Parts: sequence; C-alpha cells; structure tokens
Amino acid sequence: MAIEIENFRPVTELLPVVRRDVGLEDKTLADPSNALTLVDGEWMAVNENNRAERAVDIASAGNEPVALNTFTKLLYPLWAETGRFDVQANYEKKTPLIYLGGYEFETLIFDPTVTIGGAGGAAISSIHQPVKVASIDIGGKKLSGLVGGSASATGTVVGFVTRLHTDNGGWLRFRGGFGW
Amino acid sequence: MSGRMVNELFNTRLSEPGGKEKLAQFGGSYIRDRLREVSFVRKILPPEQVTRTDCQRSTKHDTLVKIVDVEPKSRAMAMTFRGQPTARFIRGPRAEVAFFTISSEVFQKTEQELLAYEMPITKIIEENSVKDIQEIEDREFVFHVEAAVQALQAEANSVAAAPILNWTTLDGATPPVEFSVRKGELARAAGADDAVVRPLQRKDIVEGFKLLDGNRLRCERWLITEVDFDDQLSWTVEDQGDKIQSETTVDGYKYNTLLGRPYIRSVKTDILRPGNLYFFTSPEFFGKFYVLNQTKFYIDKVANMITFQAWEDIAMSMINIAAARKIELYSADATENDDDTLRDNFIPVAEEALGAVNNRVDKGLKFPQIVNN
Repeated sequence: MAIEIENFRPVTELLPVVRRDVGLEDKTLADPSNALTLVDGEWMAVNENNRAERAVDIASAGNEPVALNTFTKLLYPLWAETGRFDVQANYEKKTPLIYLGGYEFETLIFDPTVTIGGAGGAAISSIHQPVKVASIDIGGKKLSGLVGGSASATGTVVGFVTRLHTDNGGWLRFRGGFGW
Repeated sequence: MSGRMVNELFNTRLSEPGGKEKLAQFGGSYIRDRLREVSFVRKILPPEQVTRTDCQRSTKHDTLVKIVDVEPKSRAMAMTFRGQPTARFIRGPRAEVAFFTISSEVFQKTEQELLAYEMPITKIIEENSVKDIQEIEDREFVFHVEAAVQALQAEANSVAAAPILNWTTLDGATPPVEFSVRKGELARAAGADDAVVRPLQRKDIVEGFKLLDGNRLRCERWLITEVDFDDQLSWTVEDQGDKIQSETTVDGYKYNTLLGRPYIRSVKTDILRPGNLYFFTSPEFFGKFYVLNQTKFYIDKVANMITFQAWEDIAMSMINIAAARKIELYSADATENDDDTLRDNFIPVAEEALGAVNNRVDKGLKFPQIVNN
C-alpha cells in the first residue's frame, strides 16, 4: 500500500450526500509541506469548538479514537486531497467532510491487517464486515484510517465493506454515513 | 408592486419554461451591483476580474491559483571612473494567490408557505445573500491583515510569534517593539489590561500613519469602525480648529479624508471590532483580490419546494505584509498569546454568529404587546 494523489473517491452520487466544510483545529495540517499534513480519506472528529481534528492520535499505529477525546462518537471522512489551494486560501483552513447521508466510497487509507475493539474484532477480510477507525501506518506515514472491527466489539462502526481491496485493485470499497 | 405580488411572480416564473433562467439572471445582475458598493475590502483592495487562462492549476488536485510577480531588488551605487558596479543576478519573488468559494446558505421554502408573506421575502433574501457574502469577504480580509501585522511584529521582535502587547508589557522594563502594531495613546496610560476601547485621539491616527510612512511606504487609506470614528465628533477646537469644529457641530464630519488620508468606515463591528484601526498603502504595494466567478445565482423548484443559493469564487492575498499596520485603542493583549483572555473581543466573531438579529420579535418582545385570541 502507498499513499497516492487521490486516496478517497466516491462510487455513489454526491448530490444526496451532505458535504460540510469545517475549520481545522490545527491549521498547519493544511500545509502540504508539513510531515503531519492531512490526506484525503483520513477520518476526522469535530470537537466542541466545531473544529475538525484527526479522529485518532497518530503518534503511533493502532490507537483507537476514544484515546483522543470525547467527541469521537461521530467520525467523518475527509474529502480533500493534500494541499488543496481552496483549503489553504481560507483563514480557518476549512476542509470538506462527508458529513451526513448514506454513501459508498473507495479508499486507500486503511490497513487490512489491523483490528481494534477488543474481542470479536477481525482484520479486514470479508464483504459486509464492519470497519472502524484507528491510527495506521502507510509507508511510514501515520494516518487516521480504516481498520477491521466487529459490530459487537467496542469502538464506533463507521461503515461496512462492500468490496474487498484484494478484488478491487487495492481500493477498499465501503458504505458509510447514517441510515445504513 | 407589493411584496406579495413579487412572491407570486417569483413562484409563477419558476413554473414557466425558461423562468428559472430569467429569475437567475435577474437575481444575478442585482447581486453584482450591490457587492461593489458595500464590502470594505473592495475599497482597500479593488477586485480584479480574472479568467481561467490567468490561473495556474496543480498536478496534485483540481484547484486554482494565480501567480503574482513581486518587484525584484535593485540598487545603484557611487563609483570611480575605473571601478565597476557589483552584479545582481536577477530574481523576482512570486506569490500564489489561491481561489476559494464564498456561498450563501441554500434557501428553501415551499410555494404554499411563500404565499403567507406580504413582504417580498425572496427579494430580501437575495439582497441579504449579497450582504452575507460580502461579510465573509471582509471577515477573511480582517483575519489575513491581522495575521500580516502580527507576523511583522514578531519579526521586529526577533521571535517566532508576536509578543504579548498590553499595558503591562508596555509598562515593563523591556517593552516589545511596536513595529506594526501599536497601542493607542489612552490605552498606553490605561493602568490595567482590559477590553475597554478608549476614545480615538488625533495622535492615534498620526502614529498609525507613521508606522507606514517611516518605512519607505505611505499610508493611503485607513479602516475604522463607525463607533470609533464617532469619537472624532468629540474632538475639541484644539484638535480641529474653529472652522471644522463649527462645521462638525452642525453637520457632522463631512470630508472624505481626515488628516489628509482617505478613511473607510464600517458598521460591521462584529467583523472589524471596535478599537482596531488598520492602515494600508495603496493596493499596488499591498496585495491582490481576484474574482474568478462573479456572484452566481442558482434557483430551482422541485414539485412545491423552491431552492435558491448564491456564490462567488474569489482569491485574496496580503502579498506584501509590510503594507499594513494597526493601532489598538484597548490595553489588553490581542495577540495569539491571549495573555488577558480577552482576545475574543478583538477578532471577528465566528461565521455562524454573524448576522445576529437585533429584534426580539420571535421572543415576544415588542411593545405594546398584542395578543391574538
């Protein structure tokens, strides 16, 4: 796996999906020269100041959202390629999140070998499997991405696998949003 | 034409073939006219229309910038008949000015509920959309200018972030260098760090001019809130002389310049907060404001639901940060250090807090109270 220019792409139509721009808690993450810069397909939380921050602490891989703060019950995928000019142009570094509505996307920001949520979790290996969010390592860069999980274990389920990466050119297809 | 008729026409037009286009055209032309009149950033950085061919794209994503050249360095020298000048391999800096969108909310109403309004509510919302868009232009501008003056202040003090600037630090043994941000005359003598905005003094304006004029730049316009400018009406004959004093007493201050420089007043005190005065050079020394797409107006009707929205695509950049300066009429710290935890009083309010209504009608506060039965 490697980070590419586009790492998160829709499979379903976008019009029914609510996309919301949210300012970044740490504006330096909009700077593509920052080693910690955000990558499209990462998962974000919206904090009590209505600012977006990574859903997990990326200091190391395998961290669960709950370790970061208490605002991680609702997690949102980031849909903005690294370094977009329109994100950098506005003062609050507003960046688009897939905010509301059912959707199906394909992502490269996942780790099929990791599982979180304690007993009952499993690495990404089958269709319809629930996926959760954790810090992952792709080519040495730590990101907030999708990992395997199960409905019964702890941690928020943010989607379900609809097509495995092993059968889809390396892209993990999943459906997410509310109303599944 | 009554407001109700406008609403009915709005509704009827949407059901006609070509009606959407006509209404969008109507809304679009009206919106463009209003934007030029009321945004204060457009008076400081006049917008320039650009097209796609003026812009550059990225290999990494589908957004646009316009690259602006900055004047290269050059100098001359005195020399003998036999000597030769030093060489300079020419290199001019360049800056990228990035585009983004400012949009109104997406307004929706059913055609049946539209009939319940006597006022031309759709027309009013069109006008308000323009004002909303312009407010965000101004809000972005104030934040960028604030970042510029604080960055310059930090550089002048040889630190990474602008140092605390309040009455306490100014009164201390090693006060910060006030290079691009300076406290007003009365704030300097406040005796405490607070958010009280002191009345504007003539010397405050002069010091603002001098912050720019002393650096091979010249202040050509300055920005002030209406409420701070009102203090000038209290100036005495010693400040104004008897001619202006008598004129002001009768008619208010009627000139477009004060102390020889044009000023821009704003009533948007939730964006340009009282106590903040900004001073600027002329635009060619300062920055750029580009308009890629003038305000567009979208309108649609699906079944009985009417939807409309307005947006524009712009770019603005303070390319030469040395072309802006600031005077603060309050004694508390307004830097990002927020040393006095009062900074929220001095920076623009949150976007979602803009446009708060003054009336309390929905809370039942109107007098006399009339109750339906």
